[in-house]
Amino acid sequence: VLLLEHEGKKVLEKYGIPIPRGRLVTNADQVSAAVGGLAAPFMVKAQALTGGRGKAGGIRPASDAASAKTEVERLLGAKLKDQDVSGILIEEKASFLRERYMSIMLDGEAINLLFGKQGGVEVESYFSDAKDNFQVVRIDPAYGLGAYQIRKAAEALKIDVKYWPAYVRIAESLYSLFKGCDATLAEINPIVELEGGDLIALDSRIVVDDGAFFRQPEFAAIDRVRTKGDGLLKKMRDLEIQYVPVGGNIGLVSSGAGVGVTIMDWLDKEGAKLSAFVDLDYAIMGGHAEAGIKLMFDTFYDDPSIKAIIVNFTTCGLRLDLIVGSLLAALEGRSADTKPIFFHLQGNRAPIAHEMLAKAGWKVSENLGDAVRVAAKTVRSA
Amino acid sequence: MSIILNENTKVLVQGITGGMGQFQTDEMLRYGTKVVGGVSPGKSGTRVHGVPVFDTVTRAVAETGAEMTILFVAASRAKDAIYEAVDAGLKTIVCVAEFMPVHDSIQINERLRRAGARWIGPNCSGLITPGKAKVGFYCDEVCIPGNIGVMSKSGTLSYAVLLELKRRGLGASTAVGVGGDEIKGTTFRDCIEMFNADPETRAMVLIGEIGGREEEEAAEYIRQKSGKPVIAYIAGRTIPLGKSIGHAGAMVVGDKGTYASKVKALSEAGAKMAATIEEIPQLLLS
Repeated sequence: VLLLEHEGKKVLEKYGIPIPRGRLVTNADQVSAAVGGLAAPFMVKAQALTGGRGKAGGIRPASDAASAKTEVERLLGAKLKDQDVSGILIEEKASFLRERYMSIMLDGEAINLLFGKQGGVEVESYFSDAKDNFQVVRIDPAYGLGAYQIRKAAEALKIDVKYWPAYVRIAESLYSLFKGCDATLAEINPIVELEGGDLIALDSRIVVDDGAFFRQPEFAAIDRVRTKGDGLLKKMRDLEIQYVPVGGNIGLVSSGAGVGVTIMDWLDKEGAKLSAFVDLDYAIMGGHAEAGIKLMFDTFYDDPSIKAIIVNFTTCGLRLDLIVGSLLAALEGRSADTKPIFFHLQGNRAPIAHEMLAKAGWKVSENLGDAVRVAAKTVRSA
Repeated sequence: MSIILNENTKVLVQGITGGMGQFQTDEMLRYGTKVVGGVSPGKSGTRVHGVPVFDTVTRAVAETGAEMTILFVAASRAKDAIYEAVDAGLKTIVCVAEFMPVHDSIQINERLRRAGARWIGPNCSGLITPGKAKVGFYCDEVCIPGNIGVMSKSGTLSYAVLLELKRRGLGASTAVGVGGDEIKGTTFRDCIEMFNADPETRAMVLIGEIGGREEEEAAEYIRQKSGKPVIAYIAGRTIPLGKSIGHAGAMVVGDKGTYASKVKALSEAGAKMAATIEEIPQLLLS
């Protein structure tokens, strides 16, 4: 899960990384109370899950409470690069000398700290930029981050030695955060140098590994709220169905990530397209096989834009005879006359599964290629 | 011959008393796998499908001489279970758990490298040496014995590919599910190295997927060592850029790990690319 700036800044603060004083507001009436404890001038920052907010007009200066309120009114409810603005962070405007960049990220299996001479720019530009503008510090997970590594990088970047202790402190805190939060990215862009030798983080971009939610309840909760959704997507999520709309007219009832993606690619080659990528693995393992399959059929039969359905189960880890039991229950009262269905089932206990389907009057394709080709041909001529 | 697993390999099942552990133990025993013991703290003295259960891996290894272990434990407990296996001296560990924290996978790789041990996974379908033994989800219905080395990120897709091979009378020496996470134990490159050294493997099938750099690294290895022929298939050509569909590792970030980059690297290294899974046996037979 990607954290919003204000969520990320709370995490930075918890790990001892200085941030500007600020308040989050969700409506314009909260502004005067919110800025009461802050010193003008302010920065008014729209909270949205996108980079480049400044350029898109989502970050505005405000000289006093009244102009902060005007900016909040303007930004709330708007969209930034297609992303909802879910709140506005009002902060004290920092006066600083220089902007730099610092992040820790996973690159494959490597844990790298990136230290950039210029802040405020998008990180991608560093990789194409001149090499003396940034340093990549490799962190060995067994030995951790050494203060000397940061000093060496600071020297190479020609950073004033007066700031070195602060950079070392922040880099060490950032690495503690990275490990402690199961982050895959922890970025401060920009980190700015103040007059006296101190540093302050003006922005944050933190991504937490979804796989670690079991030990990161605080971030799991953020993700739950964010992906709540409504209507059909919520029903799918409640039944643990992976459902990602991709815009075509063939419905898919299938389990397994790799084979689902392959069906999607193969249909494209045959000039057809899935309505959505679907993976029922978790639904079946979670005990919602029948309800999950039924929801998929209800969705596809009720949607007039769906012209054909492919049912594919290529599985060794799940028993096909049990899956077909759920399939037949979910298909009760349905017929291939109202919407063509193409079945392909192979794997664990396939012979029994095929017999069950044949008895119920459903035809099963010999192989996956046939199912894909016939389904594609059906929708091309529809 | 085969790689990693054969009919004599003594296999331990960690988490044997859970639903999945019991079911898969039965499946493995029926297939002929030498399952010699199981581990489930607090359940020693009991049996699962006739297999003795122990409280710790160390005790199980001492009593049974187990050489390989498969874990049926949740991702949240997998790191500890793997460490326990390494501590007991096991050198081959199969981890099917999905949603493994990447920080855990990095630490496991470090520790196993030092111990000279290998893990397969996480988020993988295990492996099978058809006609001899299986450790993981592969099943009899999808494959026959043969001389093709098969390696795949996706389990379900490898079953579909093995079926295509079987339809044309082709079988596998060993099929390995390396798993759908970006950070993992055994990679395509490792499999190619082992298949090259296996006298009963004549050619290999690499079933990749967009995202990460594993296929590119395998290509580099193929280019350097002039080994056995490799037929490759890459899934995910039509996944929209930046969209997460399917496996955790199957996501293109920037211009890294694209379909085009993998196809280019593999073809330039001399692998033959299949555009559909049906073309894989055709390329093997041509």
